[in-house]
Amino acid sequence: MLFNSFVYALFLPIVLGLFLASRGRPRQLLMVAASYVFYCWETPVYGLLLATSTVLDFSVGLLLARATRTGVRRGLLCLSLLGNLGMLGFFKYVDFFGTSLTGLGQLLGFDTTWEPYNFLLPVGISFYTFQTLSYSIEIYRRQMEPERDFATFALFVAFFPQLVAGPIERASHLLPQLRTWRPRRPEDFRIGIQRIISGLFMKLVIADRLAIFVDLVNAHPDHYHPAVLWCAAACFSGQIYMDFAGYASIAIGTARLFGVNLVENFNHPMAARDVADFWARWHMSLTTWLRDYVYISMGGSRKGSVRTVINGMVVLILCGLWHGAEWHFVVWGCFMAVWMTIVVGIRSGRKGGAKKMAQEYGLRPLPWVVFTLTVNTVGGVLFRAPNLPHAGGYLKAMFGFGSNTAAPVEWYVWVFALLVLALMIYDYVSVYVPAVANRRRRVHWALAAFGYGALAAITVLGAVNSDMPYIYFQF
Amino acid sequence: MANTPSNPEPQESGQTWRQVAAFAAILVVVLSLLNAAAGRFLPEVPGSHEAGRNPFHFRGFPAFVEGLDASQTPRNLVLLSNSQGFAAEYPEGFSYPVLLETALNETAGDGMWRVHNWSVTGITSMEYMAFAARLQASPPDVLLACMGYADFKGRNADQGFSHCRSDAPQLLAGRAWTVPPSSFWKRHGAGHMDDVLTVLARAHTPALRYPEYAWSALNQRYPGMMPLFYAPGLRYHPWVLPIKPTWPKPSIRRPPPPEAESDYYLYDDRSTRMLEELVATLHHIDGSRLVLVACPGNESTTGPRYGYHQRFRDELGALAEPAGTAFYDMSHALPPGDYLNSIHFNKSGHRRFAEQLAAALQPILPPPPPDAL
Repeated sequence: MLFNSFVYALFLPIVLGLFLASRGRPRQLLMVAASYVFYCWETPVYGLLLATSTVLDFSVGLLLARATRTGVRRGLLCLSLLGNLGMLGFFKYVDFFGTSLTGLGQLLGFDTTWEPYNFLLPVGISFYTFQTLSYSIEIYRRQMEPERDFATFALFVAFFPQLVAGPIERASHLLPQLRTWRPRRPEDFRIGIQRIISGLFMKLVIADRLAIFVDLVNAHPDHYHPAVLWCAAACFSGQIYMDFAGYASIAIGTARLFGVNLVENFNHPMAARDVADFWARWHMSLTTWLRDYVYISMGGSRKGSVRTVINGMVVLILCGLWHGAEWHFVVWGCFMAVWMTIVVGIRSGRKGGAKKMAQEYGLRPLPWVVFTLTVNTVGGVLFRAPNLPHAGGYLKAMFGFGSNTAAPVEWYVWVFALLVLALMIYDYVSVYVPAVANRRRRVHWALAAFGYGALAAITVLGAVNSDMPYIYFQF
Repeated sequence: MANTPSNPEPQESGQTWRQVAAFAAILVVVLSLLNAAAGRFLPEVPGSHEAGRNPFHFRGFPAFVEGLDASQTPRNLVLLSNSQGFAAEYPEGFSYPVLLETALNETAGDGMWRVHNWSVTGITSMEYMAFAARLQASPPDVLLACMGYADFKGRNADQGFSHCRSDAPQLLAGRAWTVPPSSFWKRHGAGHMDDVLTVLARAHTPALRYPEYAWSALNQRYPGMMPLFYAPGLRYHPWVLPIKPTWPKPSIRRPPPPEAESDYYLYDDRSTRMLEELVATLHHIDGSRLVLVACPGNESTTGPRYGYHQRFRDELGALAEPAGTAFYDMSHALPPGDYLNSIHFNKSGHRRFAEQLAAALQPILPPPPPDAL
């Protein structure tokens, strides 16, 4: 079920009404049922995968709590890892690794073939797999007690606002909220509605509109002037930001209506001063997950500078692979890893280290922000392309090789350029001009109501007429 | 964008339930005002008794078909047809439905007959069914369904209402909601719940219909606005408005449509089921004389789609026979010189087809009501 659908517009009030009318056990069961209806709406069979993951990690959690021997505990953790990552790997990566290894075999002279399974990727599998893994790992690390109520745990895995595209929640943050529903405060409803309206606006008015131009240019990059290609690449940065942040906003707003606080997933990523800052602002629930469960497990920065760099690179390449089983995502991850290595190297090489660097940025953030956006725009080409040759062709054309330099830069290119520029300015002002952000927070509620009413009206009138799925659904 | 996800938790404290209720009320008021304004700014659609076809092409059908009820003419004939009947290539006076009306009135007397042209370019069985459902409420004297195999493409069986170009499916949102058979709802409703809800919502909410109108108007004045900023997938204007462009269309190299051309027109068993369903529903319109016509086509007997044409014609004839419904196979009624292309007629074709239809209908037309003589 899509957030921007009439079915969801009907589903949400019904579930919310029943939720408010129920208490205790029936409420818990209602929310589990609603979450499964939400997830299974298009393809019911995928509910089986969700249920399998739920049963596996619930059982592992209980057994981990009982087990005292290290070997048994490790074995149980491995069972959870194998079960969850096995499912993810099977549905998402089996064809990728199969065809890649087959290609490698053929390159080495072996007669190898691979018949692709062409599975339809279960929606949200990358998100809920990571979420359930965090539960097993935290119990293994004795950072939390296992959940003993199956319905509550099933709801933690399947909680519909954030099931399909995050934010990826930690068990220690979400489970207590689902176990004991706190009384709703008036703010919950207001903020919930505000976030839903904002999210719909970001997705339907901005992201989908930028997508029109991005798709247009990506269909025939060789027909456009390099300036148009740069603009389209920058627009893709804006598109994916608004698309994903819009989804996260609706998810957070919906959860808030039920009295649940989800973690924030974005913090003005277009105002990032360098790649490290970007990853601290972009898809924060994934980056902190990778940091806590992969980077730190590999030793983090405790084992010398070389290992720190290697660990960072591994995490970013994994991050690339998480986004999709395609080589262009792997290359994008490598691109990010190399960029991160350079930035970390510069930071550590400077006297005073990161702190000094941050202070310098603080004085003159604009050039660094622009530079980061520019490099990110180039990286975005790798992300957006359907495959590596297309990305290569696009990148070459951006720099004037193979593009149509004689083609005119039509007027509409400037309209899209202004739109993405407005996004950048908004993020920049929000981060570096605190007076503006503070003033916005002090707006009277009645004025805010008119503002959000106007935003809702603009969304109704300005929504793009097309069925563009959320980009992150494919991951 | 006063609040983005990256702007966490605005105004956490100091709210009361009364303030939140007022907040919600203000939102509702703003949206209601928008809806009321949209309703006022949408153009008034003439009824089918006033215009030879829907002047807005794809939009406004719920109002356009009201022309049947508003008609003062003694006898009314409703034509359900496709782009041949709509005849977008010519002013409406040259189209065969208008010429048919003239021909009928020449015989029966001036002003005796009114032909309500409910044709839709690129019509689907969903739209035919929506019109049929509407006709259950107020049947005309004669119902002329002039159809072709392309109106029942097999691929349309897998689609929801949003696949239709016109807004005719909104007719299903009213009193006729229960008329189409359950198989129709299973096919187009059960798996397409969002489409069904969209149709319901649009039928009752002018604010949801207004953007298409505004963007169509903008695009006709400033070509390129709609594909660039609003509807990249639409290859037609939802609303056709009498506006002259003020600048040349920019060069837009759009991605090709995703449809595979090879099976685009496929007429198969799914098509047969859709046709059977429609004819059964048309048969249940009490008080109307139903006339089924296999419409003309300019396809070569060796062409890849000629088989579809033949199959459709045979099936339509077979469906008409048991109920004693009048059926005219006019698939070869026009010579090749009467066509603009493989489907549409030229002026001569429209005139000739109108004459042939009028001649075919004369024996079965009901006489004028006594008080009209």
